[in-house]
Amino acid sequence: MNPHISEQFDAELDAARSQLMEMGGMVEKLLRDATEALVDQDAALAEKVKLADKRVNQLEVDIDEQCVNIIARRQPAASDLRTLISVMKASTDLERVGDEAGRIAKMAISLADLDYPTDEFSDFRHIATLTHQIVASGLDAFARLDTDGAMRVIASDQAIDDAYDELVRQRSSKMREDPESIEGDMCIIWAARALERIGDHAKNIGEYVVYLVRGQDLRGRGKHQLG
Amino acid sequence: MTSESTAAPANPGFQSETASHSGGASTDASLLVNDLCLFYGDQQALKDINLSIPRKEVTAFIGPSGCGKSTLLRCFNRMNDLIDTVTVTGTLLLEGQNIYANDVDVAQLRRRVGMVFQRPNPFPKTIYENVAYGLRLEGKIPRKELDDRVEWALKSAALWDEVKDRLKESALGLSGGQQQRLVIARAVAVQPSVLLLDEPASALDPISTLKIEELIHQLKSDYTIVIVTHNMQQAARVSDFTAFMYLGELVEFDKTDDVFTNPKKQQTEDYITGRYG
Amino acid sequence: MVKKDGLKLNAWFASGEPWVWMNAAAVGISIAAVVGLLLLIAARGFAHFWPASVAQLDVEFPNGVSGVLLGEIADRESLSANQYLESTGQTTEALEPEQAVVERWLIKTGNRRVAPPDFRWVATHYIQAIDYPENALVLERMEWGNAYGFLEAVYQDGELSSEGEGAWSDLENRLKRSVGLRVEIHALESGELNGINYALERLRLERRSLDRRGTVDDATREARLSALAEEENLLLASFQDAESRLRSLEESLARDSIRISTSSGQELEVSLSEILRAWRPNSMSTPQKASHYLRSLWIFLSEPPREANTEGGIFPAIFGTVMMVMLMSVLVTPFGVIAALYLREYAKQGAFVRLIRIAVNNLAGVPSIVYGVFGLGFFVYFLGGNLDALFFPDALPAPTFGTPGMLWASLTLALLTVPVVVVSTEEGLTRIPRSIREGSLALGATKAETLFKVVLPMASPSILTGVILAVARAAGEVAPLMLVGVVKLAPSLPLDGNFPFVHLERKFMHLGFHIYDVGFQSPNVEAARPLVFATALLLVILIIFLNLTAIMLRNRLERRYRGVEA
Repeated sequence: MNPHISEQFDAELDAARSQLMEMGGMVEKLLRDATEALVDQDAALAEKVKLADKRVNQLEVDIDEQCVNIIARRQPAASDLRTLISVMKASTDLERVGDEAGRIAKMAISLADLDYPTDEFSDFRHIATLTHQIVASGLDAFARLDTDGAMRVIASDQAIDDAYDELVRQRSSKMREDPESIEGDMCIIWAARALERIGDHAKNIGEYVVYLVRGQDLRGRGKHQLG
Repeated sequence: MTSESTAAPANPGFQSETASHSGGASTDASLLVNDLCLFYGDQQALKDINLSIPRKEVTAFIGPSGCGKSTLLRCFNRMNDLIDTVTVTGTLLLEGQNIYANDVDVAQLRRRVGMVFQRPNPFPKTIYENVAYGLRLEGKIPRKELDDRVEWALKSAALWDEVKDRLKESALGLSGGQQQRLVIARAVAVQPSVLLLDEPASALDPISTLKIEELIHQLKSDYTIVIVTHNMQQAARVSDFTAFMYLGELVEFDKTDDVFTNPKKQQTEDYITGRYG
Repeated sequence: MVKKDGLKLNAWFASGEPWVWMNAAAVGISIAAVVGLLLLIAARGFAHFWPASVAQLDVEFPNGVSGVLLGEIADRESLSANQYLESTGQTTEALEPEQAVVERWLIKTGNRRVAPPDFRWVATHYIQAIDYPENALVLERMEWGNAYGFLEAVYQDGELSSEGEGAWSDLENRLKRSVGLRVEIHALESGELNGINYALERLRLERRSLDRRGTVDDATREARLSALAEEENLLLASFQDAESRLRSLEESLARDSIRISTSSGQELEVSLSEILRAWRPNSMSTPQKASHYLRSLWIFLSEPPREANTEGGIFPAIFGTVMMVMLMSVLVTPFGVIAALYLREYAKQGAFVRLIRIAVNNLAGVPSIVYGVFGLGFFVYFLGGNLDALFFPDALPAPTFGTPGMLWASLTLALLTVPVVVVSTEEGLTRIPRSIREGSLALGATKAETLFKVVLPMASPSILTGVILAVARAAGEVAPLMLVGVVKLAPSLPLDGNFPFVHLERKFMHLGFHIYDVGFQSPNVEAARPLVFATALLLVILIIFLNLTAIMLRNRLERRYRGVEA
């Protein structure tokens, strides 16, 4: 895309975008730390995650303010407008991702108090890996304005949903068999549910990328319409 | 030429037209441009323009300087005829009638297609006489009727309340924004079906500009409005349809909402987002 | 040091101050010149009407001749001894030894018929005594200029009425009567008799046209002729009646007479019909002098000239000038405006139009006498001659329009000034913004409607500027007028009470030509000189007045159109 006649405008847009990327990076790390804390039953790491979530929240406020200022002063149109709208919305989604990570950390703290066997996490690890991937590729697609990547992100959310359903089914039957560990299992189900939500947010980011680049709003469309 | 523009309708606010009742604006065209080319001597200023301007909607022409948007606007009331070297090919239909046909009375055409210019250009006459100017060209009109039509035109242009006590004062004493609205009243007074606005607010301050824009919005219910503007935000604010022109060609013509959020052509995108083309 | 000074000087030049000084000096000189000119002609012209004291000089010349001179001191000048001797042809003995400067006075002694000349130079060293006798009398006469003397006696029908001191008041009363009579005579002459003459002339022309044309059958012609004869008889009868009344008025005017003694000791009988005014300046108070001054001024402005233009007023010249200029303006404005409209609005701009424009501009530089020659050849002889042949054949061979006259003079000057109007109108038209024209056209006005309803009214200040310049030029123009209509003495005004009231074929008088005539063609140069200045001042005032009127009109229009951006 050609640069703006106003270089300042370009710089401002770039700043907003890179701040979003920075936020994305933080959220990714947060997510990794949260899942790690849960799997390792590391309460200290989980506390750190909860603290870091506050910074993510602050970053969202900053990005919103920056975007509002640009809209007020530049009256952006077309792709510029779509960029700003996408950045704002994506930041909201990332903030939610942060919140969900915080929720996982809370579960990790609860889980650490219990004496939960450490070899029971393979299903959770699977969802966590998928979620890490989808968030990473969502952010990547956003950074590179890659609609194909974004489409893949949107599609891959289904895999997380499926994995989550599987996890819930297995844990439910396990809970029936082994009521002893029901507390720990509930924590893991909650954490997996947070991951499933994070997958939805990542999917949203993928949709914003498509909106940003093509001007198409994919929300509310059936799967068969997706390119 | 039909007689409807000369006859004074009983209700001045109502435009008697051979209106089609179809809902879609794109099919209900007031002006239809087909393969229009315009040359200044050997130089081609407009290249194969095809466009249909919907009735009772606001259509904005945007584009960089020299792209031909004003030239195209001036085709609609044959203002380009004033320049000797201009030749026009193609057809331009106003309510189905080619205005470039040989038998067209240009003066009559201009009464059906009113025009407002970039700089307010009131005549150095009284406010009343300015508005009555076009009416008096129709011939002798009884004083009472003339008064009524002047009042109606000034009300249409949202100027009546500001000037009703000084109709006999010089129009040159009005502010720039008032002058521009007076000029609009003057154009509206002869009850055209189309109003052409050539950068009507570019010489005005922001508040006057907003008043003009508000007025355009009100006039839309009675007139087909075509506006040329350099101010993209203005085009976005006032228009229902936007045409982007570049180097004498019509690049893109679509609903304003679409053009300003998701233009189809890269040139349009670059122009409205302020990029190097 | 030198270098430093040089730098200083350079800096001074660079500052632009020398230019300011030069500009100020140029403006100052211009103003001084204009003011000086006006003051000079005003002082010389209007001082003339102040009743000067009458001096009685006892003069003794070296050859033993001595005498008494009675008159006004009209001028004083100092000459070097050599100049004086050369101009008078005298030898050095005429002067005191070692006298280097001679002062001499010009005495207006009047009494041109009995003791010419009426102006004499007298060197002051011949003057033995100067006296201002209270009872010195000045008579302004119909002919022969002023008379100076002492009132001896007043007669009525040849009988002595009063003598000595009482004679003056007696004379004053009788003069009042004669003023009334003169008004009556004038009314009779210019009103009734003039009208009858005019009617008789028309009858004569009609009879000639009946004689000439074969279109009417004999019977009607006879009937018409007899009707004419009857009408003519009636007119002749009333003419005779008026004439007899005139004669009796004149007799009554000549009833009184006075006897005066002049300085040379002669006794002079003067009929009151000869005397216009009489006054004794040496015994007049200042208010009396002022009132006399105003009367003299009024007479100068309102009456026709007498005595080969050296006496009386210049009213016909004022009237002729104003009417000619007005007629010229009326002719030149539409002509120039239409030409400019075509050149600027309709003609295709190109080499040809540029050529025409250059030609028009250069026309303004053609010497005015050339226009006079053209006017005489084209307007007077060609147009006028043909008009006469077509419309006034009855008067031929006496020309009606085929002779210089008011119309042709105005037309010639209109032609002379048309470039000015064309140029300034064109300028005005180009200054009107295109947006205004487009505004009118966009409302469905045609080009002509736009021109007449919007463009021309807006250009009117420029048009008027052109007319102002044209008027200024035309009012001052003399040379071409001498060929196409101006005469030194016009028998009647171009506007009078006889149908059709405006007589554009008549010759007229003009202030500019009047100045030339009085100043250089007068039989009595000394008497006429003050009139030259007075007339010149009047011409200037008139031009200023005409210009101011036009300027005021233009400024009003400009105020109306102010605020339209170019």
